[in-house]
Amino acid sequence: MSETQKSIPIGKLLRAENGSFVAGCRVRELDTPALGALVKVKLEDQSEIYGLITNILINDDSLVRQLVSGVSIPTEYTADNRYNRNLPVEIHVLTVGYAQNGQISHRLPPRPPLSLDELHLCDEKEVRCFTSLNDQAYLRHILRLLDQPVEELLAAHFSQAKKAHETGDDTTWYEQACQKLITLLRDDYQRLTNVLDVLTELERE
Amino acid sequence: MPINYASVEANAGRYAQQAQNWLLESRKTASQLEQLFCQACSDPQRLRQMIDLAQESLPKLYLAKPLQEDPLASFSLPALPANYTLLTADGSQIVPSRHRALQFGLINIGILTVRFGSGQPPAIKLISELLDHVETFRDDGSLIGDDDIALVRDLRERSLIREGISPDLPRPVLTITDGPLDIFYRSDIQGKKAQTAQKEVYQLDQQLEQEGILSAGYIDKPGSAMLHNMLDVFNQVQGNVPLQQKSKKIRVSDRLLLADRIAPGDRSALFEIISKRREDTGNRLRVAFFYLNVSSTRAHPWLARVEIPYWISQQPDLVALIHAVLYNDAQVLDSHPYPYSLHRAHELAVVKQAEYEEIENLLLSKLSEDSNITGYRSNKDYLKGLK
Repeated sequence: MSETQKSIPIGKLLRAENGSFVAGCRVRELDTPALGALVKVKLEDQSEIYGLITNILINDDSLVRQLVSGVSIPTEYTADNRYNRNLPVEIHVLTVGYAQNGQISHRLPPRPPLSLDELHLCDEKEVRCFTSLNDQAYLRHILRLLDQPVEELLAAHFSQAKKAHETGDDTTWYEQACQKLITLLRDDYQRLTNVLDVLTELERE
Repeated sequence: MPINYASVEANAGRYAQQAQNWLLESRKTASQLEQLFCQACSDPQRLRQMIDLAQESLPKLYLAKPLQEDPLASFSLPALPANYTLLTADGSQIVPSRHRALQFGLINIGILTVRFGSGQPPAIKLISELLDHVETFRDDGSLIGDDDIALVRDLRERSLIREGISPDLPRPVLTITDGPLDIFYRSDIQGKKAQTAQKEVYQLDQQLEQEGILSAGYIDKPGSAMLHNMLDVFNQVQGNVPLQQKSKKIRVSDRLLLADRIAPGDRSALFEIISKRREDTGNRLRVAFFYLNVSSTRAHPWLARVEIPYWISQQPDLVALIHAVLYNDAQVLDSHPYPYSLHRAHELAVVKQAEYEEIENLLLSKLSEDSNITGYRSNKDYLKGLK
């Protein structure tokens, strides 16, 4: 049994299209997924769809809205709303590639995953494998995003991927990925400056 | 068009005027009763004797009887204990309908157990019970109705609460249900069935008393006029008029009579419910009550009736505990104060139409192909479902 099959699902698919999908999970399961993390969904035909977490959404409902305006809420009732009530946390994922017959591609998959398919977090080995292929072509999917904090997403993803590569004794990945970004953004000076700013901040940490 | 709005509109003004007149008349009566209330309560002992007299001479009765506290007094909010358990239950039901493909009854009960002081989320339990086929018919062969199934649900709520109390729950333990504590109010249930149900409630309460478990029934926006009925008796005895049941159209609710007397967070004095029907037996739960102003502002009093077993009413520290717990629980939803735990139990239990149909399909799938049960809805029900 592979590492992937053993991993614990962090959520189940709520809705999907080719370019993105949304999974739901309970608050209890929320300590695992993080912004920018590489995740995957395994389909029935054994192919896998890869994605990056672009947003984590905490939903509300009319009772939560009532409670928010209340003077004081006992700890037990806060816990009730977080852990007992049926309000899934939504994990929004940007599709960045897929794997079929063991071959990873950074193109969009032929079809999206289906509702209730399980969402898994990729381990460091998988992160190294996916992010080093095809000259980091998957980064183009991120740069296509509109109305989203792309710089922050890149910083979060680079931070996790850099760590995974350094654990595998690869110290060159980060520099190559930065070069790729510079190439992709060569005609958008303002955006490139923003991205480089946030990556500089990341390097200082 | 679902409603002929033009026709409704034509009568709307008249209706509004009638409602306004009714309110003014109620307020006028309430104002008259205010004086009578003070007069009657100036000598609670004498008032109690008058009520005893009415209890002996009238065949049917539903009124308030002052207990040991000054009936005109109100009592401020006591402090909450650091640790206690709140156990609430609420239920909903599916009533058998001859128009559906299958006639079946179901009760669905949600139970919430909150260990205050633990910081842990409440334990939730959902019990769904399909009634046996024979239980869906009355003795005369007709299908059971709303009241019958509500009685089954109420009794089951009480017994499930009893089963939910384990020794490891932090004491004190308070159990709450929505609605009156006794079940006499279901007027359609009479005869032996009513007596059996009352006996069961009585026995459950005796068990709870032995174990020191507290229970309360919470009635939001109560409409009863037990104080008005009490003052009618006082007036008749005072004026040497033969005792008789009044059947006036305008009954001033206890809520209206007490609204300005109880500050936010305070409760009224304790009263006992004196209810008597022709077929009552001895094994009947004695119930006391107080009104609780669950509002947080003086400008908008919101009175709920809290019913407790009589034995609790005789122990001021237990009454104080129930007062504090219910007010604080209602304040969690302070813009529309109502106990959070009861709301959650209701949220757990409510059966939606889609679930009704799911269960119906499940039951139909269990029938063999050669079954003579048609599995067809009535044509009327089918056509009603057209969109």
